[in-house]
Amino acid sequence: MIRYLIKNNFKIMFRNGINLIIYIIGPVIISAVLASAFSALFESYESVGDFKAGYSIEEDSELIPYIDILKDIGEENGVYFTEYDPGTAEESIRDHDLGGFVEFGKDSYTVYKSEDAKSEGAILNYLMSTFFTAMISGDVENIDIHVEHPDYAPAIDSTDYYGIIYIVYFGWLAIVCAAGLLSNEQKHRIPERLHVSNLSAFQIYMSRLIPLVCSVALSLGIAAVLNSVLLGVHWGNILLSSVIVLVLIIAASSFGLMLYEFTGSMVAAIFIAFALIWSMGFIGGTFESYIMSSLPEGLKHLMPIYHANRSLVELSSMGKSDYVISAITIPAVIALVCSGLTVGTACIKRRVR
Amino acid sequence: METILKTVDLTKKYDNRTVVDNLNLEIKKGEIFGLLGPNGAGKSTTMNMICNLIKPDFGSVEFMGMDFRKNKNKLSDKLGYIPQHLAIHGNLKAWENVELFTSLYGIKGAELKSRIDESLEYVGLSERRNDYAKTFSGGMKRRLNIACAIGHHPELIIFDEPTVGIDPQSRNFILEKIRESNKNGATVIYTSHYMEEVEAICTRIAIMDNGKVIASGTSEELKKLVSDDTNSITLEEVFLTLTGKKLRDM
Repeated sequence: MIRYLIKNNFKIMFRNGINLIIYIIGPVIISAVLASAFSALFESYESVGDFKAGYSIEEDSELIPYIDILKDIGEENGVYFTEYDPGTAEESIRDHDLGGFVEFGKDSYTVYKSEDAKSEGAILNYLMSTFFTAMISGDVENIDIHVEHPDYAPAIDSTDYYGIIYIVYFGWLAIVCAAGLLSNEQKHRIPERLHVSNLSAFQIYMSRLIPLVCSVALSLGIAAVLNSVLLGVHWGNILLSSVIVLVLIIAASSFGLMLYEFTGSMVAAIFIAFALIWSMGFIGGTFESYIMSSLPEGLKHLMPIYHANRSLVELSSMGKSDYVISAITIPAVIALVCSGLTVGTACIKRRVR
Repeated sequence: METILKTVDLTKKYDNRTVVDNLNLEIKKGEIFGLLGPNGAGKSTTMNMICNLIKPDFGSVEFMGMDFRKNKNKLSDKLGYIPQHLAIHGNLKAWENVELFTSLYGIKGAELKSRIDESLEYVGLSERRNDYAKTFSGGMKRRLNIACAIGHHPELIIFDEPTVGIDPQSRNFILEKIRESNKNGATVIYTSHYMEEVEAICTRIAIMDNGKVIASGTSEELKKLVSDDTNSITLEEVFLTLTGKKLRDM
């Protein structure tokens, strides 16, 4: 019964030139720009292996009891600390070819980084930040820090990284693709015609969800091919990556349609979706293997975007990822919950109208 | 004559304001029933309740002898609704719009194709079938709006002000088609602000005001309510006499 409705809704979405620009051209351009802008950062990180770091500590420092623990953790992670005199940070880095330097004061520390060893500096920063977080919480004895080095987590270049994660970001903004259809429906009160014909709330929902998923998946599929052909982005396991992207598009579409059902406004739905995706990307859009970030791991794991980004990037660089299961199950749960809430709300609205 | 649609004590209130007040209408099979009323009289609310788009606070709509709300699954394909607004997609071609809305009633395949051809032919848009609706003039959009509601061969067609904002030629065409539909067996409910249209095509007319029917009958019968000389009075004069000259949407 809704086959023709799905087909025509798909045509409306796919014929919209703005959609094509956003979902096909958008990811390619942004990926190219960011890959180019941050290529140096990724390239420098590729060369990182074990490295030496210096430190100095004041005589009255409260941190003296913790130095040996820090040195042990450093060694476990390929960062070898050597003590130097206080006030010699810059010359020690220069003269002894250090990856960075930590100056311990009475109850604080300062990390010195070198322009020539940005990635080593970022690793040192991450190590110190995590160590101090554990120290403040009084759990320094059980501290568990893992700095992943390119030696056992193959590095990814900026082209692959941005070429992949911007497909994910645009996928999460799926609702934009339905803007033309839903705005026109609202403007011309087309749902009235659908209701007169006795379509159920579930059928109306599916007649929007299916074409929306198909349109976004097709557009982003083209964008991904363009990324591969024009920029040389590698996807690793194409089948698994496709499943991850498809499930996230389904989740994003149902999430966007739920926002539209709740707010009754396309502008509000897009604004809320964009704000949430931006926040998710800010908190969980990066991960330590490739881009240093000082945000807590636990918080990042709460962001669905983290699992998709990490699994896809690791599939590209290593051909496997521990995050594949969560990258599929989390969006699947989101899709089910959002679909249930949307159809339920639509049913209630129809009953009380 | 057999009754096709009946409203029984139909009532709707918004914020303690009674928009439709114990409305009892009876529409006979095969007639063209005109519903007139000033702005805010309750016509659209009545139409929406008849089409099951809004729920009455009290009363019911009996369609083909059954409670419409309770038997919507069985009856919805017997009803065609042409809304006042242009409920079509500009980014779809004419035939695609008709396909979309006709298919909602379970028509598919070759039968659907034939109904699309028939509907477009009926409203004179066959030659423009492959053009996008957004390129159409106002009159053509109105005709397409009609084509989208008749492809499933409804027994009762509701026309809610179908001639708003179009030229005389298109208006005349639409009125001719309404007559033709009626001759082919469809019952029609027609609302409009154009008195001459209603007088020209409707077999029976009801005038609504403040949510109630204040007069009903044939054009002649309504005129007799105001003057014995029915030739010297127009339906508009009857309407203004019964509903008053005070502006309603101030």
